[in-house]
Amino acid sequence: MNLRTWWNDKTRRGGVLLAAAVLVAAVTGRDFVAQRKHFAVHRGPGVTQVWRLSDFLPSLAGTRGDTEVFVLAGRKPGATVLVMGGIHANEPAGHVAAVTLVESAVMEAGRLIVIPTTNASGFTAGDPQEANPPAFSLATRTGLRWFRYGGRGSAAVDQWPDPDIYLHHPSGQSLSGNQTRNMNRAFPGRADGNFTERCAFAVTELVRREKVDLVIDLHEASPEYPVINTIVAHERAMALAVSVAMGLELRGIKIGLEASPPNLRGLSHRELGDHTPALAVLMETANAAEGRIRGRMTPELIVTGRDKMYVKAAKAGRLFVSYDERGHPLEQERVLRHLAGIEEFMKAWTEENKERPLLPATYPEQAIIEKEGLAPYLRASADAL
Amino acid sequence: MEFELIILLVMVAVFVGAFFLLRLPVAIGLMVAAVAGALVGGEGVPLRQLVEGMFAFFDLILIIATAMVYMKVLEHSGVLHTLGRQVTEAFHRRPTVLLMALMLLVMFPGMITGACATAIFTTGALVAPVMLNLGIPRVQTAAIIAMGSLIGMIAPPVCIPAMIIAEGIDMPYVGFFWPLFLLTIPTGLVVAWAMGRRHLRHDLDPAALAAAMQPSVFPAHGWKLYLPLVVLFVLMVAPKVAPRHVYDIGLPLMLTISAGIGLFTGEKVRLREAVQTGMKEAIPVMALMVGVGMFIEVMTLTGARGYFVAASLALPKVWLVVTAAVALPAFGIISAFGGASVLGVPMTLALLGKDQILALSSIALIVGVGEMVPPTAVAALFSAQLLGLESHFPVVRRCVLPTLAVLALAVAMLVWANWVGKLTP
Ligand SMILES: [Zn+2]
Repeated sequence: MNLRTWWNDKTRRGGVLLAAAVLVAAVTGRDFVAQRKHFAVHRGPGVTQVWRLSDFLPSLAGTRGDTEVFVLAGRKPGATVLVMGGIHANEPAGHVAAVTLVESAVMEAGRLIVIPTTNASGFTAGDPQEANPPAFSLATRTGLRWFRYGGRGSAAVDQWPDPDIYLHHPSGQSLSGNQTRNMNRAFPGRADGNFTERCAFAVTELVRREKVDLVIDLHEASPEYPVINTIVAHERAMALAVSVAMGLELRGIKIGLEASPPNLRGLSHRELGDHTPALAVLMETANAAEGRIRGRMTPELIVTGRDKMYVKAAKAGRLFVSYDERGHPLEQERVLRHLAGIEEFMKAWTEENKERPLLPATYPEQAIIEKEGLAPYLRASADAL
Repeated sequence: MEFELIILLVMVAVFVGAFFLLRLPVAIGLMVAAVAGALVGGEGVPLRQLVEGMFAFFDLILIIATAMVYMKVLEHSGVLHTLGRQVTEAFHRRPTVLLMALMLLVMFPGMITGACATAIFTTGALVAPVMLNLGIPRVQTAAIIAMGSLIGMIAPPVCIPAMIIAEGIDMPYVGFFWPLFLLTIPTGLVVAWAMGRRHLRHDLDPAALAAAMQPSVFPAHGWKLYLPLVVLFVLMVAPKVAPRHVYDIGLPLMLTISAGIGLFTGEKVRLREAVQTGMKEAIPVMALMVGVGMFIEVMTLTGARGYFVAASLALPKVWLVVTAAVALPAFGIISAFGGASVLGVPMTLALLGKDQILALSSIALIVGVGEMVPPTAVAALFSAQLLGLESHFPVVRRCVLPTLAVLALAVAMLVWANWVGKLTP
């Protein structure tokens, strides 16, 4: 019997194709599930307590939205600042900056609360058609340090299907359906809402119950996006943000300043500023790996920010940041901007509130990061990818 | 020549070769092209990305599958031809008015869900028999429904491309209703009239008409015959009317529930046959979405997508409008919504300074035109499927002129966005 007649048998052909489909599903399914394993964050010398997000909304316990909340309390009393990384899991600078704080910062006065993977679900899956790698690594003195790289929203397996229209609660503003899983459109959230709204609600509860004075939400944006290398501040936080921008300028870091638009609902700075007593701000850096103009998608692109397509677009005058062959490196530029920004926020806060200071005892230093990257501040992962 | 351009050219060449020379289905051609692109790009056969890419259309695939089964159930139960008969008998004296009403009916599901597939497989299925009764040829009927779904997709209140772009540039989706309404509703009516008027027969003899149509099953079942239509309508509209109170259960579940009801409201439905033929007809379309998903993901992975976007944006600013009019519909060959996100957002940012809402509404309509660009031309493809045509290319051919007219309108609006913006308060 020749191959053609063998193949022309419908049952046989169906069987072969079905077996191939099952094989592909098994291989890729294993790969998909493997991304749920996360790389542990080491408890640095400054960590005094570790909570979980579900402490603030018990229904999150056991879900992929639950995540660690690190508390770095100083010896002396003071104010409380919350730093959030990873609300968007495809914006690594915020996530890495938060991890660096947990592993290396020590507070003298006041309390630093850090959530490195605020939308933990987002880290467990990439976005279709974005070809995101599941992880990337940085070199440290003890070996490779691995980080997850996920999608912009909560994983679809955790919240599905998206409605045609996403209606923000409580404002009623409508957005396209895929924004239903975008945590930075879900604030202030609700206890009985969808998965993403519940995660956001837990954060809002944390801010309320722990009497957080200042919320700093760390993000990145694609280089073609106008709001970049910028602080976005709620109106009550604007005065503070102005002194931070000046402080950063003195350190050689140019940063823009934007008021949080009152008609764009669901964003952390808008809703936490409106619904809690905290001052709320957000910081953006430039991440080519989430941009639409980027060339080949690789883990190196995430780390170096070097991309020839962006260089081309910059030459055509289509970008809002300068872009040349040096790229925008994750460690020396983007994480550094976030870390320096947080430090300046603590400084500016303390100047205004001397009786309730936020004073670090040990903090990642700009000069060292510029020279050696984050290697001195991070520890290698126990397990590789 | 840049490496990414070579990858892009290889992908296009393999697709064209597979489709025109080897006569492979469009879907298989796209998949083979995706794998070829990945190989040339040095990614091997990236199973992870191939599978991830197709999940972009997972929801749409479920909609197509359930919609086809729903349609088969309606067909078996007799509601489709009975409704077509009743409407034709009631309104055949005023065929032009009827045609325009049918056009609005086709556009409606697209207006509230933002997807052209929804329009074609729901109200498209209802109006098709009426149009045929009126004397419009099968291919032309498919073409009119395809155009209606395309325009309805952009018509307000829900215009997904406009929402995607607005979201991408941090602009609230507010104030779009009237610009989109004026851009689409009159256009839809004019298109229906222009495409249908030559075929409309004003001298239909009621007796001959009645003899030509399938017998009505209304006397046997009464109003309950229409229950599956009513239930689907309520399920679709209620969450839009009262979004705070009614949960949007998703179109696949709505269609399944309505199909379930349709089993008991009319003529006997041969369920096994309905599901089998429905799925059989749905598979080429579902496979196409899978192929498109793989194709885009590999373009992203290898940098070919970035090359395409960067090259489009690098053109001088005066040419940007022309680029938008060519590149956005071209992206529609693989995915109109993908084009809105990937190309529409940076394009709109580059065109800022014009009246933003008007400019964005025009760009959304340009994006919509992409649904009619061959070889995929999904609007024509779904519509040809609906009318049981062998190939969708004759449908595309009938749509060339109307599509170009819509494109011209959108481009003119984009060019004049600044000027018009000054006139509207
Ligand atoms: Zn972000």
